[in-house]
Amino acid sequence: MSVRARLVGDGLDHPGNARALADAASMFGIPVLLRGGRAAAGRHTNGAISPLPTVDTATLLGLRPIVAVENVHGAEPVFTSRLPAGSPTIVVGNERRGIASDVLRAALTCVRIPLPSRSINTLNVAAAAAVALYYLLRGSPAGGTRRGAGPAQRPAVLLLGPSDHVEAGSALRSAAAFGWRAVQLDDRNNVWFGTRRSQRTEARAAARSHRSGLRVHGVRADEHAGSARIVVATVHADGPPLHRTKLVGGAGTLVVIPDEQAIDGGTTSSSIFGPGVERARIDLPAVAGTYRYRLAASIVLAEISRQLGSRPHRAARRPRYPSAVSTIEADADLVTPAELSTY
Amino acid sequence: MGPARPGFVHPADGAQVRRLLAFFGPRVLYGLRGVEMRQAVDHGRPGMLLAALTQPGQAVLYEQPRPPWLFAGRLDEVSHQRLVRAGALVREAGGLTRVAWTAEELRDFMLFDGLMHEIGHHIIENNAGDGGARVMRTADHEARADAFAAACRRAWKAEGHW
Repeated sequence: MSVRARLVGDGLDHPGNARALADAASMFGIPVLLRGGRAAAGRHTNGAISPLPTVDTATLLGLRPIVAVENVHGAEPVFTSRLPAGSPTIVVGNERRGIASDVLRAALTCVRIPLPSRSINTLNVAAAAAVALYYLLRGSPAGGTRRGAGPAQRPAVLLLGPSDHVEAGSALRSAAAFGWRAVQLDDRNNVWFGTRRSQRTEARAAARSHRSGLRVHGVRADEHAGSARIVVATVHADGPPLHRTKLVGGAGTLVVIPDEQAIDGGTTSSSIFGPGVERARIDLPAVAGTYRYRLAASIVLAEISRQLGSRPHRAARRPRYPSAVSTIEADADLVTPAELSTY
Repeated sequence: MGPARPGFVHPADGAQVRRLLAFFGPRVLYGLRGVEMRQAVDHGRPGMLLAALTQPGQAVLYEQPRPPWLFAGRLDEVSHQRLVRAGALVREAGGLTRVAWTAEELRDFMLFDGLMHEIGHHIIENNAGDGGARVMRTADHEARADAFAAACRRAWKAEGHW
């Protein structure tokens, strides 16, 4: 049976990321495969969980066309990319090393996710896969990013009630990578503030807090009732699709991303924010039974970033041509004190 | 112009640079935004930095130690030939290299193998148009800049200047 596309994790090391990647594929109704890496070696099975399917190198290189999601020179922005015809294989790479060179060489195209941040230049691998799948599987490109609304139109973002500390951390990492310097967090499930030390450490690591510079403001969602404009981005509730909803509008606009594992995005948003709240639907083809907060949040943040537009283009720095007198260091032999005394 | 530190000199002064540029005229002046004289900086490699094109149209001449120059180790082949061609007396002995200059030879070396070499790079970049794209391989870029500097030196000598 032919599939519309497939997702491959190349050399993933972290079992949690492998599971999240499988959920990303499941949200879009496509199969997932793992090649190499510790996550594919079965360590994530942990008894109760079935192992994820794997693929060897020869088979993977035969699954063409291959689309690599990698931030390499010349890669096309994912917002304007089209999937090649056929049954493409979308590959995401190892958490630190990225995609292996053999797959990159075999790839028909490379796409990248434009990230405005200068301090965080990557997303969590599963979040990156979800964002790439959201734009690549939509059928038609979402449109260019150069003529966006501009940075002054960046809205405030409220993460509402995440139920897992790592999911919250990964969502915050995405926010930092997409250029937010401050995010509001309604931590009603105590996963970020006032949590256990071990959870706290994991959550901060997932958020890359040590270098993101992101400020997380703890708020209660109902404090925002009556704000100028509130848009709740949900998977389950009715509303216009995300890409057709204006998500930008400056600090007067608040985009709320509820964790729908814990909160019903439809009824709860009305009860918290009042009847005037707008809703935007995250179009996911096969979300029933599969939901991860980091994936949904990253898609919403990516779409806001697309609507804001990319950073102004700067020409590459020209090469310098230093003129120098170059020397070769003097040859020298090392001798031990014993050799010296013998001498 | 940054004054040279004790023990260092700027072998060519501003008046000499202006005179040289005026001699070659618009061909070298077009797009040239300035020539700076700066104190030497560490360029991360063994040896001495003579000059650089720090940004489009901006050439920099660095201060040099008072001659004779002493280096630990030996000169690489390209640098050795370049110095000898410019009139330096190069001696290698005991893991050291000594390079002796007269004041005039060092001044001309800085003006032609330093400044005009960088202006050669600038002209190549300027003729290629805007965009910051790679024009040619670095080795070819260097060879053309060297050829330009040598042609300038010949033209200057033919007129019997200084």
